Amino acid sequence: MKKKNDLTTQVMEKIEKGEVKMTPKIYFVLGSIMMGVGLAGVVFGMSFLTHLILFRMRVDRPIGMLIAGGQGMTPLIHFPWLMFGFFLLLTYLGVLLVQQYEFSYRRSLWGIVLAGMTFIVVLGCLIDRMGVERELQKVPHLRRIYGEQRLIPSPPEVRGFRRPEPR
Amino acid sequence: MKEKTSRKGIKINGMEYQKLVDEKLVRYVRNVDKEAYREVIARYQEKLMRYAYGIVLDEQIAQDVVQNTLIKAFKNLRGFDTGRKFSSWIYRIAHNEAMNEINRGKKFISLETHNWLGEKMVSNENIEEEYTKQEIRKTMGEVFKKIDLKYREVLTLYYLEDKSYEEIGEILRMPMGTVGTRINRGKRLLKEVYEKEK
Repeated sequence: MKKKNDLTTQVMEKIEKGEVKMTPKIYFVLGSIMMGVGLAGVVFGMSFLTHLILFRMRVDRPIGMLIAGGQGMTPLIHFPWLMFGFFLLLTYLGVLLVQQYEFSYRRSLWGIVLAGMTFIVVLGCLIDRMGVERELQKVPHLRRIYGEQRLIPSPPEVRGFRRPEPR
Repeated sequence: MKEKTSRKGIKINGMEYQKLVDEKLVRYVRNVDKEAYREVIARYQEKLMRYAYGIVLDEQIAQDVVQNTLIKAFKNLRGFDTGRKFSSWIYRIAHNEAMNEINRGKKFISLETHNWLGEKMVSNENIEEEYTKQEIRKTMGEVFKKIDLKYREVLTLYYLEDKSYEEIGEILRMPMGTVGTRINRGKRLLKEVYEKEK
């Protein structure tokens, strides 16, 4: 009984003296926001990169730079790697903040990683199927990422599917 | 303003903590009065002590673990999602703290005599309903220390803390199937050790 009271007294004393304080809500909110925004950026960036790789493979093959006039994957050097790195960093910092208090609930790490990767690949393929490159190649900076030499038809047309006629 | 009575009737602003479920109590501590954390300590101190002892097998270290757990839980109380189960949350903190202690190499063979594991056996009132559990609890007090940690922790949670497979899975972050396997295997190991000891 004495031990019980001792522990209660010790803990409550620390709380009352202000030696132990509750971490402000903003800390947890900030961690979650950083992780959320960072993850969204990383997922979008990875999906876009998947689409770009698929696009470059369709146009030049992965080692197209070995063929005269081909660029292969080299235009990907213009991909906004810095911004992508920033989102990665944001995710990392968010995870660090969140990890300090999120030590409780069951999370299957491999499940999350697997779901994330699947989502990224599916999203990348979807973006690729949508044929967004036609529009995006009109944007100067993005044109460099796609490879500036020519406007490439979007995948459905390449595969012989007809796009609906514009009204 | 603040009136305190005995453990059975701690009141603050006329509010009796005992009537609040854990999650509401946590909300009260966070938003109204930190003093109500006493009730959280009162509710969990012994349970956590039993659990921590089941892992570290040393009373002094188990006490450190419980103290650190209670302090860490208070610090991070605003990060707790009150839509979830508080007990799983705090047990998880205790689990991490206990594992930290073990990793720090503080664990040594204990000579103390207090039977933390056997204590639950005495306090349980539903003996008839849980005959099997009780039998295992009886066995546990004596041979528990000889069981491997990974079985010890699930057995502690299942038999001493009456946690469901799901809750154990949440606390230890493992699938329910693994929980079941470990409980069954742990039970067998307990029996084997018990037979040898006899």
